[in-house]
Amino acid sequence: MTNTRLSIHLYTFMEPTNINKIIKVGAIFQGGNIAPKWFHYDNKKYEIKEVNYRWEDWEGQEKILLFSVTDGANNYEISFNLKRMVWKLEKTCITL
Amino acid sequence: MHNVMNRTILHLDMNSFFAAVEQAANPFLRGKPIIVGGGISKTSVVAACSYEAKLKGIKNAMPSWEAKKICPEVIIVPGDMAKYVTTSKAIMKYLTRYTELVEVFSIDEAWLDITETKHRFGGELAIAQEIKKWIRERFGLTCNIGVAWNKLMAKFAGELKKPDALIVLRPEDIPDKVKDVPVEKLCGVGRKLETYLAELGVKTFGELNAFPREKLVDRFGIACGEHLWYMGQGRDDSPVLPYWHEEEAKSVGHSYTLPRFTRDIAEVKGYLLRLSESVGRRMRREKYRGNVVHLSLGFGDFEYWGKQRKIADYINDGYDVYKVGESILDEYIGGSDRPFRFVGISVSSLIHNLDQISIFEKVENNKKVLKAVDEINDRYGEFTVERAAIMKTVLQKKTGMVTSGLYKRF
Repeated sequence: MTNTRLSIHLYTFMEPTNINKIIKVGAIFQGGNIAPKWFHYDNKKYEIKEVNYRWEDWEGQEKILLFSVTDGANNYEISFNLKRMVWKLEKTCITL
Repeated sequence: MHNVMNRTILHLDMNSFFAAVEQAANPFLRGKPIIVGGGISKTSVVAACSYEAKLKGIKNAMPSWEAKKICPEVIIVPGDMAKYVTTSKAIMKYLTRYTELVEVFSIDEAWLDITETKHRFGGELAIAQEIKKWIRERFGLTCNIGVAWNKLMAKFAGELKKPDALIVLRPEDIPDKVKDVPVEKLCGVGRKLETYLAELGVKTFGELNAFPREKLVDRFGIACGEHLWYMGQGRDDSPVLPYWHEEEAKSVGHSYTLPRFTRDIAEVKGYLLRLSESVGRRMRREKYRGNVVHLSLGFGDFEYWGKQRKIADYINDGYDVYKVGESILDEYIGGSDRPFRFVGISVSSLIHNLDQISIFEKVENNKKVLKAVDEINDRYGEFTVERAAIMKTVLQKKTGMVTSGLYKRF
């Protein structure tokens, strides 16, 4: 199935599936921190159980915050462009 | 000023850094053998592996296919430098709480000179324990910390037990505690030197410690022999050079290992042009010009060829760098048909902050074009605007590359 819906890939080469789509995210902005709580993708709501890791990257002069999050079943990488105020689902990282 | 034997130096070394970050970022990878690398193609190698993978016999720099053969269940994860650099910078910044004298040795290693500041934080052990605790709580990562009276021995201490260890060495420990440790654990003793030392019957730190100074000088010459003898005595006077220490660049260069062997000269020139553009861009950003261009070519199995050429003008335009590199390459091609695996280009004999106005309009116009292109690429990212000739040449991201000046500001 080529649908970018979050399907499981039974590879031990854990190549994440690149999505790179703008998504709607519910997040708490507090004390200089951003805590994403849920996101909508492809008509489905994913509850974020845990933010596993945070890091940052740059696209030219635009700072991007990246979050590795899990809904308890799978791992996802979402990003927030601080200049454009845009959230994206970057990747799904699904392993065995 | 403290006596060199009375200094207190910490050496921090993150455990399986890239792999551990990936495991922290993805709970489904935790407790599993994973390697960070480019894939399972013939040329991909293991950039880093988790402790679970190490227990299965996988080692760093091993071909990925070999790792897969040793441990079929190993999970190969593509590297993500932004993740590692963010983590590294946060850790290095945290270390400056304890002292300004933090020397970043690599993306996952640093020395701290806490001689003058340790009393404020309850001593070296308290500092080391606090650092380990913060890193574990903030990132879920572990590290080794070695504590000793100089950089050499602090790093050596950190090598004695892995992972997640805190080891303190004192000068009085040399005769007994470390005498049986292999000499290769000393920073600076590589595979070749280890072999030469073994030929002299020196395989352990204790054997190096007891080896006569004159014999080392006889075998390795005055500079290297003396240095080795000092290492064997656990002596190292080198200072911890803080992250803000400016070191004048001697050369600016970039290199690339091709994804496969090739005899296609146009392809090699494509890589050379892209690398030259990166060199030019860095030189302009750091306000350097240079007039010696060095081209390196590699053919696999650690076989390299290199030649440099001095030119009249001091340049910082990537295309000018390329033209000199290309002329060296053309000369080389005339005498060989070996397939290429590696290409590198650098510019040396640098001068800083020299920007003379040319009497030729063409040169001045070219400067304006470069300035405009640099501004666009600064704003929108590298190679947003690039020469049409290099658009089809794509360099795969390197897994372990750390750009210069990364730690100048955290």
